Amino acid sequence: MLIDPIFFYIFLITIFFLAAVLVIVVWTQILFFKKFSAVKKENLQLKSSLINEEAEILKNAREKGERIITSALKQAVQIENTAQMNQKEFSELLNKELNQVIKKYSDQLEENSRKALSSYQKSLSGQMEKNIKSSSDNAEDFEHALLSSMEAEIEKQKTGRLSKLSEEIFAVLEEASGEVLNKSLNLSNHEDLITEALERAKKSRGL
Amino acid sequence: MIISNSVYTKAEADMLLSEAEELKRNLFRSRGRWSFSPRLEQLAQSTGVDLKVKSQTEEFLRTLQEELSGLLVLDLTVAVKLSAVFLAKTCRWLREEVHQKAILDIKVDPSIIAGAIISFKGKYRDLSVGKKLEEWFEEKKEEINNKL
Repeated sequence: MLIDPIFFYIFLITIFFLAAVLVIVVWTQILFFKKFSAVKKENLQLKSSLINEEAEILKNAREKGERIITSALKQAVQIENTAQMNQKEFSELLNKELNQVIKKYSDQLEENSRKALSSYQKSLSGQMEKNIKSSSDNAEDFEHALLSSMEAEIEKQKTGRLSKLSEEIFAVLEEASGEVLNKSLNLSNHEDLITEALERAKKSRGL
Repeated sequence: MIISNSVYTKAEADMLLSEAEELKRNLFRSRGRWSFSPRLEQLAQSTGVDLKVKSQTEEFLRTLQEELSGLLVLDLTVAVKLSAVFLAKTCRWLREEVHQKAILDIKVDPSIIAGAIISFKGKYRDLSVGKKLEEWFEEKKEEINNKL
């Protein structure tokens, strides 16, 4: 079997290209690995330096805190001692001042009460005198008014009764007069009066 | 007005009217009332009507009804019951002096004492002694009261 030489050349060129690509890839990988190693190393260095710094800061902070706490405790003890002393003094002072104020206000209150009481007594006395006088006047007025009213009412009742009595007597008198007249008339008189009435009615155009 | 000339009061006229009405209803019936009151017979006789003759009776009743229905009533209130003679006399006077068809409607009221209260054709006159007495007392009321 014969192979065309062209295929041999094509095969060689292909192998060459593949080899070239392989070389490029390997080279790139090596460069990347080198760069990655450098970054990793740098990170480690940075990390280690940061840890050292933090440790230093923490140490400083702890020392400082201890100092502050110690100082604070000392001051607290001192303040407490001072406060105990001040509290006693303050209490004494406060009691003294309070007693003074209480005494002052108590005196003032007593004075005011005494004045108010005196004023009220005077006012009450005046008012009572006025009321007694007014009541007396009112009683007199009331008595007069009552008497006038009673007199008027009695007069009214009297007039009413008299008027009613008069009306009753009047009615009886009228009725009695009618009966007397009626009995005193005979049939003929009645007939005459009827005829007279009819004639009068005719004359006055009542018919 | 011939038949009812001698009828003077409303009471009599009403009685005659109701009798005439009943007679007219029964006139042509074989059964029912066929007798007349003495007053009706008297009236028929005074006008020359023979009540045995149906046609004359019918005419008489018709005329009587017409005349009685056309009468004018004068209301007369009096204190006592009046005699028939006086009523006849009064009614005649009334027919001569006031109205030819006038008739009296008499009412008795002793409270008016005497005289009469007259009402005719819508006009009213109180001419009773009771009214006069009332007026007199009203006039003299003050004077009488002072004397009491």
